[in-house]
Amino acid sequence: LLVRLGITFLTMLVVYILAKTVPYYSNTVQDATLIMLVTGFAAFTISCFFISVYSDSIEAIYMTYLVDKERGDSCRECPGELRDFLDEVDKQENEGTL
Amino acid sequence: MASLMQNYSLVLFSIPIAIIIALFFMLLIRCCASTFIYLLIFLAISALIGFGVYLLVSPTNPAGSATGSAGTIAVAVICFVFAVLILVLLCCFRKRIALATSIIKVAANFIASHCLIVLLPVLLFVVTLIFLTVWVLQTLGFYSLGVPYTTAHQYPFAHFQITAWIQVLFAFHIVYLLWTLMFLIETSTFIVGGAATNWYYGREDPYSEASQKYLKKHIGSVVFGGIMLALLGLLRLIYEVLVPQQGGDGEKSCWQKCCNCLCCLCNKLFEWFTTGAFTIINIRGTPFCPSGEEALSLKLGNPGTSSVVAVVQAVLPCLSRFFRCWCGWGSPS
Repeated sequence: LLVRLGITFLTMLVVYILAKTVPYYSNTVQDATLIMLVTGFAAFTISCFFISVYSDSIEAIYMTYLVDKERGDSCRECPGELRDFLDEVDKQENEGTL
Repeated sequence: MASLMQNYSLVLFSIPIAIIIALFFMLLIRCCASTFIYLLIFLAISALIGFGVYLLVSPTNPAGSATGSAGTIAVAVICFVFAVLILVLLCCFRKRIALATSIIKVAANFIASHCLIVLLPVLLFVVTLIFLTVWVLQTLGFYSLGVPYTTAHQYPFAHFQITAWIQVLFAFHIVYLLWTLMFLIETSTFIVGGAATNWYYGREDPYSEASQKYLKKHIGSVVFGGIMLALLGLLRLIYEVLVPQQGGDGEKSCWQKCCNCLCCLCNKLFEWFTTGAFTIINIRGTPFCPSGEEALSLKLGNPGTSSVVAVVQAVLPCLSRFFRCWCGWGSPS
């Protein structure tokens, strides 16, 4: 909820600043309440979409890692950050056995 | 309203601004994933200890569930035991927590490098809105199939007597609504999951490949996953209609709470099954049920990391819940 609200409030803040500082908007916007409400709704929806995609990606990457691990070659094809971690684990395990 | 119509460009500006801020948050999560997870664990332990101490110090039991000081002390002890258990698990699963952190960072990296994939749920949301409009029009059409009748003091529009076969038609129409909504939600899950899997294996154009694979080979699996989720939702709907949610004294009885909890558990398990199945389908191309079984067995084989990943996913609010609530079929949780 913090991420969603954070994105929503920051977007509303930026739009509010735009409405107050850009000459065209500062002249035409008399009451910014409705604009802020619509902006807040749009930003909230977009933050929800982002978090949903992020959640699905975490799930998919985790499952792919598990499939690779079961196959026995989890280090070969995985992305850099994960490979670094797995290399470090391997290194620690080798040091432990030595 | 006139001000809004005149400055609609300001509202349109908010969309790219929100996307840029969301990307910034992705970057933040990528940099602070481990801090985030350890903060969650610290908060859980603090909450348990704090609640336990509060129960011991407070003269009355705030929850009101346990009676007398013995019950309060027992609940406080359980809180302390849980806190110690989490601490022990933290020590034992430190490496698995680090693995979960890496996976979360990698996922943030994927989103940051393919931020346009967010447009897919946006597109499906628009499709859902169009579908809902058509569905409502169809419903009105079915209503008008009834026999027209007039009574005294009726509203100034046509009234129709709904016959039994129209009621059956309505029932099928509701199944059709749920099925299509679930299909659209699962389509997003399948393609995003497929793109993430392709990216993991270093494919050149992960999103296009996932979309093509979905359209050419696996649309049936998504339809099947959709109907399973729709049937689960339908069962819950029937349960909520048939069983009154409030008892005589205005509170839910124990067995109603148990049934709600069971429904919630079934839904979560099936969501888990479906999402895992889609990833396995994307990797191996196997049918839905064997893929789900494999995904479940893989997750159950790695309980430590699976728990941490699941907790982070639960903490991160997702649109699917918003989507379902918005469409009138709330998630059990």
